[in-house]
Amino acid sequence: MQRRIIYLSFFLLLPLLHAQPVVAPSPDRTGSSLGSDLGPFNITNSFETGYRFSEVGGDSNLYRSNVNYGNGLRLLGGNFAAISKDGHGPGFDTLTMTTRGLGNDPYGMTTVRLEKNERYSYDMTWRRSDYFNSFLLNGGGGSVANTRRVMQDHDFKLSLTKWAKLGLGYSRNQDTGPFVSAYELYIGGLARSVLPLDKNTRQDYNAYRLNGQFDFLGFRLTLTHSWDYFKDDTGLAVLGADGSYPLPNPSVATAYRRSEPMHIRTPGWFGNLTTSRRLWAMNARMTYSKGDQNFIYSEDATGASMAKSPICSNCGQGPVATVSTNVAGAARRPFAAGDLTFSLFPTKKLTVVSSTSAQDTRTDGTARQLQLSTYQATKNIFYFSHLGMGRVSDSLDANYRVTKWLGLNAEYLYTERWVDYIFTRAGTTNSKAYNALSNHLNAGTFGFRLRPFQPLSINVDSTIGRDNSAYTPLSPANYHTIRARVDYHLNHMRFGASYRQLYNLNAPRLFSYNTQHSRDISANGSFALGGNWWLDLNYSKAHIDTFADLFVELPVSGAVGAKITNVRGYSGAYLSNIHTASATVRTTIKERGTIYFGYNLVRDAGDGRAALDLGLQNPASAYLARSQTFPMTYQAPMARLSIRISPKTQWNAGWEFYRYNQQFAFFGYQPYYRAHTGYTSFTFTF
Amino acid sequence: MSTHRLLAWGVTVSLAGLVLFLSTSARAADTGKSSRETKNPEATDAADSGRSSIIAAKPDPADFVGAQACKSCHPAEFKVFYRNPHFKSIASGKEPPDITGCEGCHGPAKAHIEAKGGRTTIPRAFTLMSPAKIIETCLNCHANEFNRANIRRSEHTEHDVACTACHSNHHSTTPRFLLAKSQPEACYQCHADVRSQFNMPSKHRVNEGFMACSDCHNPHGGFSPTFGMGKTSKMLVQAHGNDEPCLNCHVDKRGPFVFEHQVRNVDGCISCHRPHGSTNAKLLVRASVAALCLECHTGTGDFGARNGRGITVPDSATHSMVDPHYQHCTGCHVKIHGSNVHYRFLR
Repeated sequence: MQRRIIYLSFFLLLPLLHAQPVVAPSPDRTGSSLGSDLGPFNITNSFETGYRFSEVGGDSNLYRSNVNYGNGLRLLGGNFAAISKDGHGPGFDTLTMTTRGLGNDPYGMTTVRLEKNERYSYDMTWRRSDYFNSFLLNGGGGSVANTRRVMQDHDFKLSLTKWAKLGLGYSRNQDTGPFVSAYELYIGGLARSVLPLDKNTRQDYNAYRLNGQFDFLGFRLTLTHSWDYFKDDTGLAVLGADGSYPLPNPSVATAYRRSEPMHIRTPGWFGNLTTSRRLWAMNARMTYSKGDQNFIYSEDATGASMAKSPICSNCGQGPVATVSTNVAGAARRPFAAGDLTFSLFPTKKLTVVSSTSAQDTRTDGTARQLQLSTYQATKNIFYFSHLGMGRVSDSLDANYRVTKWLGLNAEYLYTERWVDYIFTRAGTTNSKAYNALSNHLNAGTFGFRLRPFQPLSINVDSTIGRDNSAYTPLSPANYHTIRARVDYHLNHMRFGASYRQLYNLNAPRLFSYNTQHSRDISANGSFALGGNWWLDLNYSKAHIDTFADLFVELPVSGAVGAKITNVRGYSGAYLSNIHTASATVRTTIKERGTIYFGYNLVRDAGDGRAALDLGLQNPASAYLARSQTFPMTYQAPMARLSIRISPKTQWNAGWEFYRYNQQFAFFGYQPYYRAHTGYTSFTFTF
Repeated sequence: MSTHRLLAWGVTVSLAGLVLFLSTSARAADTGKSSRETKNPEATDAADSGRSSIIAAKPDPADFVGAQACKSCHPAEFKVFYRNPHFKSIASGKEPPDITGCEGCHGPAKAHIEAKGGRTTIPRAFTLMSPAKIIETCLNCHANEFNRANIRRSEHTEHDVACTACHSNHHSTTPRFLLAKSQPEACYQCHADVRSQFNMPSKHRVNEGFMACSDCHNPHGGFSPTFGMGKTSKMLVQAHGNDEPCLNCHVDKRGPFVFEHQVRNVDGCISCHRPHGSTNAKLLVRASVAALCLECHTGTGDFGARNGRGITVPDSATHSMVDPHYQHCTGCHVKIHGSNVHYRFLR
């Protein structure tokens, strides 16, 4: 009877099952976790290799943007560890290596740690991501990326004495591959055309670090000097004039060339001093970096003058012209920041933490533009811009443990910030702008936590904040938050629920408003049902609504090409209700295998409207209405089976299905894809 | 001398003075004690738990029995203990008994052995200790480590999330950091809402194993963020010493640029992006780029303006929003994160 109930429960839960979104590699291990001894070392080693497949229907570009698993042989995962059993191995005491997704999976990772106790340690992380991103779906323009980013970090620490350590570090971040973006082509004075631009991305970041760590008088001082170099040598960009670009304003350019190398050098200092005593602790930090960029931009474009075009009633098609635009300049950003935190423990039950931070950053940029053309006078323009920001922030936290089951915490935060902006353009058309904004924030938090009995804990806190002049209409101005969490954890059962609320009222101008409400509710549970059954359930609902004054610009008559004017007083209402549910069930088969089922569902119900129709009778309201709710559904069921063939060999197979479906459309296009992905593999353990 | 240098020198000189003062006062307060003795957790335990019969205020060296004595009754724990980073204290053979092996964490075991076992006879039995006590016990050795320098102000500490909520000393499943569960599962067990965000169609590749929560977050607490008003999460790591964690990987967005998109520097990437996951492309907070941009770029050019103050955008928009050509803002404003050539980010 009990078995029947379990089976019945399983099949009832099957439609709700949901798990990790990634089916491979298999998390199940085979063989002994104790490994085998080899000389002074204990060795554990396992790897999983197999074939991954995918079959995609619908918008394959969107699939690649979201999932991107393909076909082919893979080294899905690997773990290796050689650990000295007595802590005195020859040359090293610990060598661990983990890999994931090697062999052309879109996301690959390798970590290595090599350590000799009390002598040295070396850590390496290598990562590769094949990044694909299709057009943004609203407007048919933007950029398409099909690049590969490779990142690596190396850190070596050498113990010179018991109180001094030396560190050396190196990081590299490369981004290469084809990239298509739009650009505005100026051939005929004020008129312009938007064209696709094919690029071969070549971005390279190298960072070197020299680090020292010193212990003295109970303090630890950490000093780091770093040298960062970034260069973008994307180089020559060639126009892709195949006429397939979806923008409605094709160019008549016949030749185009661009080169825009950019190099940035950022040396930096970092210092940290910390100590912890019986009654107090202290932590102080100071950083300083100075970004220094130099660039050249060179562009030559030839084509029919766009003096008139369908999009510009004042323009017309003109004679062939060549425009050469050359810009050279530099930008600098010194950035200093400091933090000082004091923690006091006057009694066993009370902790008081005072934290002060200050920062100052300024970005200054200069650019000189020289534009030569066959149809107009030479343009020689000088630009200068400055963006400065300073901030001082002070917070005081108190944490009081009243009893074993009741604790209180409170925080007061005060922040003062000033931002100034200067823009100067000198040349054929001059303009200047200088603006400054200073604002301050007062925020207070109070919370309590209850632990009425051991497995149960309840945390609740609330914050009220007032910013006298928030930076953007979306920035928190007059806001409050409520956060609550309940956790129950007992042996093989865990249950949790949380609620988070943020209400913000911002009024960027007199008689205007911008309100944002977000409410997140989530609940999760993990259960060991007995009989080798494990169940994991998760549900979240995220509600977001924003009501804002939108001062959009529209044609007077509502027709394209008509005179444009400001239309004020429209309200933008953004509504989103995202339900996310996931479930996982896992069971073992007579200790020979594991079966795993999962299901993941994401559904944005929007504001309840299913499909929205764009009418041109009232274009403003139609545009705003259709763009402010975006219902969609995304689901991913999966199943995985692992069978132990021998004590050290395991066969795995898995399937995962992805289905993405938008219930809204931009320009009549409603993206959709579905994909069957899966794999079969063997796990070997030595 | 420029302002930033003045600030840097000011902070440096202040820190130097502070160090001098604190070291002097600390030495005065700790006269006759080693720094280890001043942080003796036994005194704390005895005062709070009332188990004074077991725990002496100051451990007697004779109460330490050594790890080999523990081995006889706890062979399973000891058999694989060489894989544990704490095994270094045994391998060293030079550390004092109160920070060596089992007793380094659990306290002197003499009374436990004399009582023939029992959980309550262990001076520091972590399953019986309060979260605050667990944190203090671990900080006894780990307080000065840089990654834990802000642990006193971290959200986890403030909410009594003890070290053992994420770490398992004897049943770790990870080759490093002694995590009870590997990332991201260790984080998901409490942050179910974040788990849901990483299940969205557009997300950072955390579930895929390409990156981990700790790439952007420091679970032990971080410095005050250098963007926004300092109220954002206290648990962020800082890239390159003082930048947003996003710029650790997205170095091409770091700049400096001649023309910066101001909101990125001032309020941060989260002004436009939802970093964990989103139903929208490119982790944007809105599906429609036009809707996203228009909520700030209202065309009036007076962000935050009150009483004549505020940052003005150089030009307000002059586009018909009915024309599809203009509804995709980043179709033309391609260098939206910052440009060297055009102040409207057109190239």
